[in-house]
Amino acid sequence: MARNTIGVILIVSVVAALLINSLSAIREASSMAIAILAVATMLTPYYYLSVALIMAAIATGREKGMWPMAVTYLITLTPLLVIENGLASANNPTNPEAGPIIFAQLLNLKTNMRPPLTSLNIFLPAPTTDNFRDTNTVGPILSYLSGTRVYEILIPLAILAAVFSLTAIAAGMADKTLRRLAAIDGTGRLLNTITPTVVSIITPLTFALLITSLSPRHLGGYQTTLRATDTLFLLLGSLTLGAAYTAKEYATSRLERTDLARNTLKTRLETLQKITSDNHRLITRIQSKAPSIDLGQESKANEEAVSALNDVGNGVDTMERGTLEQWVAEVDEISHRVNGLPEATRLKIIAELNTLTTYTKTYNESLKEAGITKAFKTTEARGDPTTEQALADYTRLTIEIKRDANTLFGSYREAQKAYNILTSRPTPPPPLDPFTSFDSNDNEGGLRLVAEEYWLRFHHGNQADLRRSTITLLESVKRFNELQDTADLREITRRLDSPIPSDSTTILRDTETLKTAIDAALSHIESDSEKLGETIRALAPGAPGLLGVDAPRYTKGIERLRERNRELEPTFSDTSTLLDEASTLIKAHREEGRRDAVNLIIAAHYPAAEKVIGAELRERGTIHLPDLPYADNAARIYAHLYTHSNPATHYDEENEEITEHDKLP
Amino acid sequence: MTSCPNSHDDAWDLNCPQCLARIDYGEACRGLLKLPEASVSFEMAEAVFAATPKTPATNAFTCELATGPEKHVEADTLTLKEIEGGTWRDYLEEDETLRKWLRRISIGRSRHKLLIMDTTKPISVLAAGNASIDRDTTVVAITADDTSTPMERNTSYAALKTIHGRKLPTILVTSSYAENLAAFSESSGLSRGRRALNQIITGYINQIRTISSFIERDRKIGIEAHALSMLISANEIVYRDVDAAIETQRQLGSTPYDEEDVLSIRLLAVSHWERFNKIERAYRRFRSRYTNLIDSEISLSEADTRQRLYDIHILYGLRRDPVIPLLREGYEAVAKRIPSLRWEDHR
Repeated sequence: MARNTIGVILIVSVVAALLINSLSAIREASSMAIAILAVATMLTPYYYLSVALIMAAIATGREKGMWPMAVTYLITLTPLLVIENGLASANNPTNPEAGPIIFAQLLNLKTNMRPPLTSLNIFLPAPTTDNFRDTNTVGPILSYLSGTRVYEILIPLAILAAVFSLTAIAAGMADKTLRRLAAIDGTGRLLNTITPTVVSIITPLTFALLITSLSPRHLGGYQTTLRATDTLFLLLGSLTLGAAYTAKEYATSRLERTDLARNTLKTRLETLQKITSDNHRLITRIQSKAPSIDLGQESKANEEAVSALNDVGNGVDTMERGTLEQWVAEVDEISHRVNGLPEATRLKIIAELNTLTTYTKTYNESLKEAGITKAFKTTEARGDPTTEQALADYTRLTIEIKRDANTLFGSYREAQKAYNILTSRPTPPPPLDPFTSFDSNDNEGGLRLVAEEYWLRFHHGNQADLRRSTITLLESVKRFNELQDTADLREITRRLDSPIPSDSTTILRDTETLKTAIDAALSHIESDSEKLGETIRALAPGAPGLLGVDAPRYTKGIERLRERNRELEPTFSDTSTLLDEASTLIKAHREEGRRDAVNLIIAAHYPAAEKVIGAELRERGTIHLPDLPYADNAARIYAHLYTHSNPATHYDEENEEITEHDKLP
Repeated sequence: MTSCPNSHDDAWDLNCPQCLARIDYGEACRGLLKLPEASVSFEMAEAVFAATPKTPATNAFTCELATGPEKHVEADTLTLKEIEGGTWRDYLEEDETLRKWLRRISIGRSRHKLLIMDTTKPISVLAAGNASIDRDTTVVAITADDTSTPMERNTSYAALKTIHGRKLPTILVTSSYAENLAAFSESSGLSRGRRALNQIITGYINQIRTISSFIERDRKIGIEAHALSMLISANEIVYRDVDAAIETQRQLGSTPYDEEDVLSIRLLAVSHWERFNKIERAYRRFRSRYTNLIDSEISLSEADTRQRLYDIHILYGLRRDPVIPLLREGYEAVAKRIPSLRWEDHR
């Protein structure tokens, strides 16, 4: 029964060892290999190097596989230690107080299981069947396992595990501490290099100290063959392995740094080439949209960066580590410059936008002073615009400024032309188009030309003359307006009261309106006179001449004035003269009209008078004018008209009698 | 409109957006059945011009019946398609059209109504007999005279007979009188002929209350036919005095009439008030010559002008229409040849 139990435990232990080893192999294959190698070393006289192997591996940066390696080592070693102690108890039954063997060459196992090994090929040839069936071998093991002494090994095994773990922790802590210290400037490379060596010293010493000091009967109660010499060899072996690892680490590191520098350079080159390309596109786009913004400096800086990066790119695959590292520094410097370019460009656009806005505000004041209500478009900069927003604002502003300048220049030319016509001055050569400035990206020059050189100078240069010139015209307009009161004339009078040169176009239009008004007034007089003549003639053929309304009475004067009105330019002086002459004619016509009213009233009653006279004549044959119901003058006129349209009658002016011819004596 | 029971604003929804009460669409539909109250005010006077151009007048609605190349209907003009060689009989076919149009433009709604027409034109008969022309409408009829063609006399005769048949009060003005009219006003100057007549008619429309009163008084004493005479824009420059001016009116009637047939004389004077006494005195002397007068009346209206002008309008109420006998011969001559133009048969 007891044997079966022990056997089961042994088999379970072996299966567990294999299983854990398999798991370790899956997780960390190299760690398991080192652990198996270390366990195998326990069968040799150089068993102490097993610890060196494990610790050196941990100390040289295998921290990730530390625990799989340690567990594999202990689990694999435990069944072998049990067997070793089983065999040892059989071989030396007289000294049951000796304690279990924990960290020593597994001499009994090596001796009894097979011929002594002189190499590490214990696991390579298959064990012979005879050895396993040897009752001298299996028997003591089974006896040991079924006896009470087997329990003595449990505490030492735990101590071994604890010592091993503490050693591994000490190694890990030493490694980690040193590598952290390596982060401090100036010590990094040295510490990184010596760390494996230091760990290789600390680890075996810790293990040897702990395993030895815990072995006495009153503490761990186990046997270890580790003596000072072994410890020394352990230390040497550990140092040798540590040195080997350090050498490997150094060689790897060196190769890696060159590659790292090359790769770093390539990566940065790629990034920077993209950035410089973006910068180029940005600068090109800004220059195409806003050519007046000078980005020569930024463009040059970007081109220089592109050239330098090309040079680095050409040598990156062939240059040594030193050059590469130097280039990395240079590329960093270039990177700093090209990364800052977009921001510098953005600030430049904002600065240009602000400058342009300031100019427009300044020149708008000049326009205002010249009496121009139209102004250049201005814009207020946004708080912190993006490049796109600032560029859009700048582009929009320049387009609007050019459009405004074009309008203002056009109105200036019209005003100048109008002023020259009004004051009878010769037409000067055409002024310089402000677009010559805008086309050469001199926005400020274009603004100044329009606002100050043209409008303000035009205003100051002609203001006094204009006021003098309009005084006479204003008087003429007022006189004319008294006769032909219209809203247009009142508005013109108001404008002429306070003229400014910038209003020249409007004033010219006003003088043209005045000429039209003159023509309309004269035409009205003509038509009035003609209509009047026709109406009176229809009442009695001889009436117009008799009544003195033989229309048109002012034909020659009106025709002459209308002709002159058509021919003369709408200058101040000519318009004033025409207005005065027209006013005189209108006044005369109205005066005549008032006199005509009397004649027209008389004429309006002629059809009735004709009937009355006719009836009287038929009744009496002769009429004395005083007998008629008409006033004397009216009666005489009617008598003339009647005899004129009735040839069979005669009017005797002397006797004031109308007589039918056949009644004449 | 939709209706919220709590009198909130209308909403086209199932519930009121303010109080969520259910909107009563049934009540809204019932509300649509009620017509909103509207008060329509008509001008004090209306004047229908038939076959003579209308003249604008303030405070009066004027409209025109005319003929033209195409039929055309507007709010103030009905143009009937002109019938080539058409007589007054032919245009009677349009009686319903005219009636509907006159109703549509609310003719007959004003207190004072005038029908001004040229009776020498065929459509005048249509206008004179139309049922939409009320019986209290005063007709100003431009009639044919001895200078007119027989056909014009026939038409004028038919129109006048129609007017008299309907017992409409009439002011008779012959074509010659109208053509020889002349008038002067300080605002529009000198005018003559039909233009002068229109100017005078505008003056009548402006004095419509007085004119209507004159006509109404005459109707009450059985007078329908009237002649008129007028002095427009007279003053002392033209006439020796007011007496002499009014005296000339005996010879200046709008139609020839026999003084014995004058049953009433009504005078409207528009003048500066200082002249009122003179006018009244002259009027009394003037009317004393008419021996058969039943009634007489004077109305003075004050107005002032720069030239101190005055207007005198005298309306003579006649025993009988003096124009009909003048037209009969011409009428008969046509009616004999064209029996369809015999007014009596048509009647």
